[in-house]
Amino acid sequence: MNNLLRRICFALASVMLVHALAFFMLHSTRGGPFDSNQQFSAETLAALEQRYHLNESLLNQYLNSLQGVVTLDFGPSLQYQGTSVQELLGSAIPVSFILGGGALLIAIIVGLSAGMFVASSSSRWRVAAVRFSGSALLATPNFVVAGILISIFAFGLGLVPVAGHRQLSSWLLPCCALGLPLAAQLFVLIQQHALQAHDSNAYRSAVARGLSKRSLNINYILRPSLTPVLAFLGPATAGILTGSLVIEQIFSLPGLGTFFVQAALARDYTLALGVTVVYTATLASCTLIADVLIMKFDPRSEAVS
Amino acid sequence: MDAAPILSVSNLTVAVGDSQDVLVQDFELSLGSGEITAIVGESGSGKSIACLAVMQLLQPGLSRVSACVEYNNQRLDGLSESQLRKYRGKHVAYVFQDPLSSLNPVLSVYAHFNEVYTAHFPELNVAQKKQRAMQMLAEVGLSEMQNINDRYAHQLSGGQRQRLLLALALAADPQVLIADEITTALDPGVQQKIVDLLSTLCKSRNLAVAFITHDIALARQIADNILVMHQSRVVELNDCQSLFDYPQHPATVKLLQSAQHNCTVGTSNDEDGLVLDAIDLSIAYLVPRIFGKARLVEVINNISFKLFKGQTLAVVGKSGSGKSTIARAVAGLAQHLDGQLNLYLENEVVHLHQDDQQALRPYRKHISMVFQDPVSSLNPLLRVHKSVSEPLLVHTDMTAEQRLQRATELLTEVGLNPAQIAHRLPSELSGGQCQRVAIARALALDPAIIVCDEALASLDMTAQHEITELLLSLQQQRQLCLLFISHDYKLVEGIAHNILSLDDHASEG
Repeated sequence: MNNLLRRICFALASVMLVHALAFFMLHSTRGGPFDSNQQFSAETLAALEQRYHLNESLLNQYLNSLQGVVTLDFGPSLQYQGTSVQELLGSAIPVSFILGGGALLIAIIVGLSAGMFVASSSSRWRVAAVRFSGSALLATPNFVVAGILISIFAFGLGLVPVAGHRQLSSWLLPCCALGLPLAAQLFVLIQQHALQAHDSNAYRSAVARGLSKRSLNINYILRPSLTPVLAFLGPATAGILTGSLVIEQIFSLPGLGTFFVQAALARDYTLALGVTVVYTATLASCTLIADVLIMKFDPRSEAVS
Repeated sequence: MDAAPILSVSNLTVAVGDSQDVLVQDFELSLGSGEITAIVGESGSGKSIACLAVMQLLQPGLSRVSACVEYNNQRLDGLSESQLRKYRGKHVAYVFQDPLSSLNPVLSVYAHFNEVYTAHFPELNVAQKKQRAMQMLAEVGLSEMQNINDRYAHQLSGGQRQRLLLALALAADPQVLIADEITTALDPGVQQKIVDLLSTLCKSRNLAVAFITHDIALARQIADNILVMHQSRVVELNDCQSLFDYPQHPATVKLLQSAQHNCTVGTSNDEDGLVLDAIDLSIAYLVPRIFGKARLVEVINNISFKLFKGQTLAVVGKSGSGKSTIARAVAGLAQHLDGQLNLYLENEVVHLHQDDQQALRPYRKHISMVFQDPVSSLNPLLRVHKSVSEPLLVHTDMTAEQRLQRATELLTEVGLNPAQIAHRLPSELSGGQCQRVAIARALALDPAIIVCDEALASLDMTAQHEITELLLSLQQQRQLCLLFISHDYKLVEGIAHNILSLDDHASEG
């Protein structure tokens, strides 16, 4: 328990650190939020800077921003005038999380079952087919997967809408497009460990004890292979939950992905920091959860701690 | 064998895939209740494969070409995989060599038992399963351990793991137990206890036991009958006493000879030829922790020893006693040293205990190592001559031709035929050949000291004998100083000039 507490503090500290780094790096790059588009007069610029506290010292601005992080109030967006950062994030986070969560679910189900199939099947033909599809999927970028899925299922068969997020069925394609390449990565990872487990002495001993095929597969192939999968899934989950610019654009989903790029390009300090904090916090919590799960699933990890 | 055998196997042939490459030819075996039959042979003679084939446990790639397996007057050879599953564990059980890797690392001790009971006695409830598991653990002498049911494989010692595997194998009350090299990976003391346990279990449960081993002396200790295998075939079967008194086949004679073999060496102590001097040596390991600071654990505490030219020092101890740590320290690979470790070269003294690893680099060529597992200590992607000449590439500026020339000489020196061997990959060599290659590599830079870390442990008796001879003759020719790390007292007694026992040291301390 003590360890867990320490890990949580460590996670919080890393969020703070990343926030500080991002803040100073953003402010040290050239240009400001009001440089582009129309030319403002000197007075207007001064007034704008006054309004958004950009004329204060950097340290003061940082402390303000830090206070914003602690109170979860990141302030008004500099780019989307009249909207606060938390309003923007508040509407985008659920979209990205649903998309990412769905994709993750698909990746885990498809990746794990394909890996287990390869390790336990005796049909060489099928194994080769699954392996080939895995490698092909691994080499295909997700926007290509998205294009193929759209042309088959939306335009071709007309089963699901092309884009949008009003209906439940419209989530299916974007989740698949985002999840399938991840499933391929998971598949490659787990099949390697599952094949090792299949060749292990432990497996052979268990077969010699006359255990059923089901308990052999679950306890002697799947469970020993879970540790590396969990370690990989921690950071990968954070990446997938916080949105994918490409997939969100293709399926016109108003998720987080867009903000990552726009905020940085437009020097929208508050929005960029908000997105950064959301990403870092997600990463830290996913890694933490993965570590806790590893400890739960693999008794050997306790010996190390 | 008076009564009818409970398990009889005949006409068993195993081949690689569908090819004509036969690994076991016309194997025959009959096991009687309450009797132990030892199956003896050097490694590669097919003894393990034959026994695995009995219950169709062969690894993929090997296939049973023909077999007649009769268990309790029932034919088992025509059964399907799911039918065989009912016999595996329930009637014919197996225990394998490496006790750590044979257990599932993520399952607790009780979970292992639970699986067996669920598979073979689905009618038992949780309380009955727990009670049975405790009875089994008591039978193999593990019941007095605290919370044994909740422990995991990594929390048990080698001997305890092997006891647990025996208990698991016997959990479904089988009539036949096939024990495949179950003592090989264990320390000598523990080995003896496991062998005793096996004989006790055999008598108390009226088990028919097949005891596979490469060690004919061990077989003599416990077996009623001994079956000798040589080059894929059964060459001799007799009761234990007759086999030892009147061995019939040359392979048996050879096995008996290597078991009795004892080299003797002079024990002159020449104070002038001091090569390495360890004074009050303590070695610690940094044990990393995920949370918090790493912790130093002292493995070796205040040990002193000397190594002399042309002589052998054997460091003997149980596993975990720190003998490999000493080997690492002498090779200049240990990091947290206390005390002194001085290497005496012709006109200088090198302090191996210094922290500056960079400064030690030019002196590393004076010490080389030969490791336990000859196959995995060679780079599987390098041809043999490249492996052998790799040290020359690092420490000398020889040309590729000169290196190949030198590799050829070295391979000849260790008794290999360079024309045949030099361009092969390690996977194309036998264990004994690989160890010779590793020795050739160790000799490449003409070192003063060769550290042999359990260099004989994973070889069969015959290969052990040959490699020992090779090391001794090299020592005489080159005035080599050998540091011999081993868990086997018997093995080193014949070859070492001095023996440093870490077990005694620990008990004194």
